[in-house]
Amino acid sequence: MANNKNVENNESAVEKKQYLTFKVGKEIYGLRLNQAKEIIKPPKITSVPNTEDYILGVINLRGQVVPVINLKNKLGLTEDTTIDINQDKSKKIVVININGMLIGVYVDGVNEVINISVEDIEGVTENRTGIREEFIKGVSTYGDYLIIVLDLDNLLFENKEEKGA
Amino acid sequence: MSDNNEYLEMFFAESEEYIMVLNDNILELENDPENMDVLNAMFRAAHSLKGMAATMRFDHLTELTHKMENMMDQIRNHKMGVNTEIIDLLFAGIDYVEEMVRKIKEDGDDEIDINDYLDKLEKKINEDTKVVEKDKEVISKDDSNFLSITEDDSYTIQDNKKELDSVYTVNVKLLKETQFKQVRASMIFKKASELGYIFKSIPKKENVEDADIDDDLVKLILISNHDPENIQEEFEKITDIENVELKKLELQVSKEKDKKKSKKKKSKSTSSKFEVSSSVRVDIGKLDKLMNMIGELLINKTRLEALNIQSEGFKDVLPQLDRVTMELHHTVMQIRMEPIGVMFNRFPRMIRDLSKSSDKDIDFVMEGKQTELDRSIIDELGDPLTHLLRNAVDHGIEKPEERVKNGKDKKGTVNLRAYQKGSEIIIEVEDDGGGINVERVVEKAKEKEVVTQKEIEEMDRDKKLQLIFEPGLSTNETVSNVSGRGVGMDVVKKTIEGLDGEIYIRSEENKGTKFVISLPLTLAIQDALMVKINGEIFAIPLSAISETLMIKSDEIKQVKGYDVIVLRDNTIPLIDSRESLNIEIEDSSYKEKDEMPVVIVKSGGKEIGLIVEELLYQQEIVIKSLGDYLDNVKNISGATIIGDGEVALILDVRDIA
Repeated sequence: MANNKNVENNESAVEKKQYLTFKVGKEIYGLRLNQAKEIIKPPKITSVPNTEDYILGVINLRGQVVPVINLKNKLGLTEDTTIDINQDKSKKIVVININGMLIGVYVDGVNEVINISVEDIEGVTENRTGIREEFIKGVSTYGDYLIIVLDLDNLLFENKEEKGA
Repeated sequence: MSDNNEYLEMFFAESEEYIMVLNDNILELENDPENMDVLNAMFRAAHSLKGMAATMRFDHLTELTHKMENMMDQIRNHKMGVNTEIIDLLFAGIDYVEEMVRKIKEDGDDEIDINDYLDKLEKKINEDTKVVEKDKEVISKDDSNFLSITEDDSYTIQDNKKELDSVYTVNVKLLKETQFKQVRASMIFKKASELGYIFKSIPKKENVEDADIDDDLVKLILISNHDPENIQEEFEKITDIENVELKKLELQVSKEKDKKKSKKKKSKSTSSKFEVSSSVRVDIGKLDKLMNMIGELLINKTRLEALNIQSEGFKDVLPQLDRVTMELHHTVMQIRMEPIGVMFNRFPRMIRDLSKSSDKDIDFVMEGKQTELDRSIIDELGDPLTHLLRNAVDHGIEKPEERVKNGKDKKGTVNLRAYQKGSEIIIEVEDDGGGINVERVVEKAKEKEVVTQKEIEEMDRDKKLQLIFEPGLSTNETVSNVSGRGVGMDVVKKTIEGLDGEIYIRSEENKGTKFVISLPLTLAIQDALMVKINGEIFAIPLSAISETLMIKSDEIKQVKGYDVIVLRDNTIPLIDSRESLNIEIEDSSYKEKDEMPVVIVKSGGKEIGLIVEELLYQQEIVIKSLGDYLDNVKNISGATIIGDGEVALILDVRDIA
């Protein structure tokens, strides 16, 4: 909690927001650092039948049952979407705290925390990523590479809205 | 700021309570206009509410409650009579109070325009007091001066008093010039203890020695088997007593069912029976946290057991740990239990308003208010029950003329009852109204394409009735502001199932409709059978299992193309558990094995055989939800954490069976 507050303070001071960047497939993605709660080594994931394909399953996070989503699948990246946990040690689960829920996001690797100012995030004019537009807040260049900033609200809750109504 | 928040929290909690008390008592007052206890309770609630509002500087609320208090005072002093108009005015006032509290919660202020209402109130008070003023002087004002008891008190007393005991409220007045009033007061207490038990008193017994004695008056609620004259005499024997007034109280205890239920709570050990244990108000969130921690403790205990350490000390400690964990769990569950009456209490008012606005004459009967349920379940039940009751009034009970035409009493009855049955709590909403036309439900279901003609043909009447819980099926076309709020029976059913409960309907035309809800007594911990399906471990609640057995492949018979087994002359359908879970069957079907384990599960009177890969062991599981993100996963009711720290899913056999 205290940490989050610090982050918030820093942001307003430098007019920049902190983003956590991570790799999925070939691209680098970013999400607001204050939405990320922790990064963990993937434990055993129990798959849940009768759920959408992008739901990998659930994990035990210190006694709490947390769903884990397969970002590759959710983003519609057509390449290999199967996941072999033993294959690569760099694979991680980023646990995010959104709308009062904890959700694990399975990623291929976590890169770093960077500062991006709001103006530097450009809207996507030409969607080369193959990802549905509403899932993306924008793109930003950082050093040599391009970061795709995700809109987690839309990404995770696109179906939930209709359901709730 | 945070200090203030804390007060606000308290303010909300307490105002909610007072609003409830007011609603209940106004309703009671309508039935029994002369009941002083009711008026006093109302007055006190309004007064406390006013006090709180004033402290928190909610001026509108203060003014409103002040005016209402005035009115109640006038009634109490017999300067005003009680009639429907006044009752309506009071109810309207409560509604404004509620609205203000809500506004404070949302916007932080209580600015609601109530001038019209206040004017009306003022006018009414002025009008009425003039009329009544003259002829009501006779009645003694002191009536209101007595201590009174609440309904809860009544139960406590009822449980503890002996058969011949009566309950008295006693005022002992000391002479004004008495010195050492505290000493006299303790003598009064001493005498009272000789005569019986002191249930309640002002000042309190424990601090009589340094209490101020207001108006030189000691007030008592005394339970005693002496007759009133005797008591009066005994008190008068104490020196420096000016007078003793005493009144016998009737206990407001309803029916045997409640008595039985509340008897269980009777504490065994207390030496002075009426020492009411002190209590604290606890945020339900904290209890949830405690529950979670106990859950973790249990999980770790299971893990410890799995370690199977070969040492004598270990074998000693485990059962101890087991006992402590279970007791802890049990205690927290107890703390979380609340009588369902706290939620039921909102309904009489609702039914009254509904029946008035729809011109129906309705007798509303509640039973089993003392039935205890987990607090979180009670909270969730409010909406579905409201919906069912609204339906009962709106669609169920017919207009008086129609009832008479059909040879029924012109007054309809709506019953709401709760009781415990084994490890379940049953709640029933029953009306003696027109009942449900099954054919119309079927028509509608076909129209909405919920079922096919073929499916209909295979259904019996009972099954057809249950179609009412399908989305989009509400047989009454007219949408009124009462029931037609876009919430359907499907939502009711979903909510109940979300609580791991079941609901079904019975209805007979022209006789009435009955909804039966069954809920588990506790949510958090259950016994379960662990099974392996497709290499993963699943838990099946023991409460849903009737038996397990091994069957040979040649015992499987075919009926209408479905697999069945015959068990003690019953034909039970067989299902491969992987099919119901939509798991791709990679290896050969279980059925090709010579022998396979089958779990016979039951739900709603039906039984079904579930073929699994392996029966593992029986275990206490801590039920965890899959979280909001994965709500309503088909055939899965939740998850639990097993010995090695992995998550195992809990099978929801309701949908499978």
